[in-house]
Amino acid sequence: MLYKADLHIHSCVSPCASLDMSPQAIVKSALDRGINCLALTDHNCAGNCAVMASLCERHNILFFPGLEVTTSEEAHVLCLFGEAGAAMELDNIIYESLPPIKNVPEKFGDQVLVNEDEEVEGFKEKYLGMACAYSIDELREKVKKLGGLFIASHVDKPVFSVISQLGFLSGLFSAVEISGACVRRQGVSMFCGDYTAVSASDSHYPHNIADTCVQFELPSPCIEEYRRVLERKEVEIITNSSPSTHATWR
Amino acid sequence: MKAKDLAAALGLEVIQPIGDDKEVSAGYTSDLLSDVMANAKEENVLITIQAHINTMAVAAHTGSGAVIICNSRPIGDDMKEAAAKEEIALFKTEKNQFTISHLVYSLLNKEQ
Repeated sequence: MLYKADLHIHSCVSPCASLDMSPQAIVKSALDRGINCLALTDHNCAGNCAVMASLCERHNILFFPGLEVTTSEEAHVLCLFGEAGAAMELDNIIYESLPPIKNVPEKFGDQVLVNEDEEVEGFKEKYLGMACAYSIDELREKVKKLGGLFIASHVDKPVFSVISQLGFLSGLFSAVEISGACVRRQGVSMFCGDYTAVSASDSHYPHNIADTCVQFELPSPCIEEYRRVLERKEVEIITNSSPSTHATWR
Repeated sequence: MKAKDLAAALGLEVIQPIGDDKEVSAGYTSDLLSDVMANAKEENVLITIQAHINTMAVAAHTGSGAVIICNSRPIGDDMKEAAAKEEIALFKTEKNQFTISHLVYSLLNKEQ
């Protein structure tokens, strides 16, 4: 089956994302734009993944629960899983290791956990924008143990990317993500080297969903098949040539 | 000044001494290695909290004379091995980058 996927999206629990980014709103926007595969990748948190998983199941969307972890080097890495339990396991490890700095909603933004009906279920207390205690290498081992994919986020960005923090790409990644803006501007070749390049919207607002996505064939709807697609570099990046206003990005 | 003399003068902990007779004539302070690659110069002592194996590769690329890891950040064996391989002395301190930058500047009395 052919999948059109947006695999880097932030919901309302990410402090920098819009409060309009409820799982329900994300699924609705994705369906409107012909997306049939989604990942939820909040900063250091998988708290809205279980709700997202059940919404996606109802709408026949293949869903990869995940997190965008800030490593101790302050590099962003996408960790994608096949089921919400594994994502929550990593969530617990990461949250535990975050420094005890409380979120200040009026300064950093709200960190809201919601249910399927967009009702508030709770708030994350620690500020999720901090770096966790684990290095890229340590995080990779944890993700590997949990059976996940390990993708360097927006490596072309001047901050919070593996390249900005560490000078160049090194280490084992399942793929490297290039921002949609960069793909539109100059293609993917200069950043990805031998790695498989992917892209995604990195949406923080509903109107950005699917601005950039990837397309691939999976013989069966599971993360292991997507892993094989990445290994074989059988993924096509699709960018909207005139995207709506870019998400505020932190 | 030789890297080992700078380390002794500032009371830095020696993590990896090979290459400590390299000259250091000024410093560069940054935690973003892309920035270090673009702006550090030869004979700089690199002052950073980025305790990562790539730091040594970037230090070698820019011709740094030594690396000082601040805030007592833990240093992995892979970084120590890379420092030895690149023959760049690696030091550690509990002081932060501001304080060490001031001390290095006072000692070398020279901008980059």
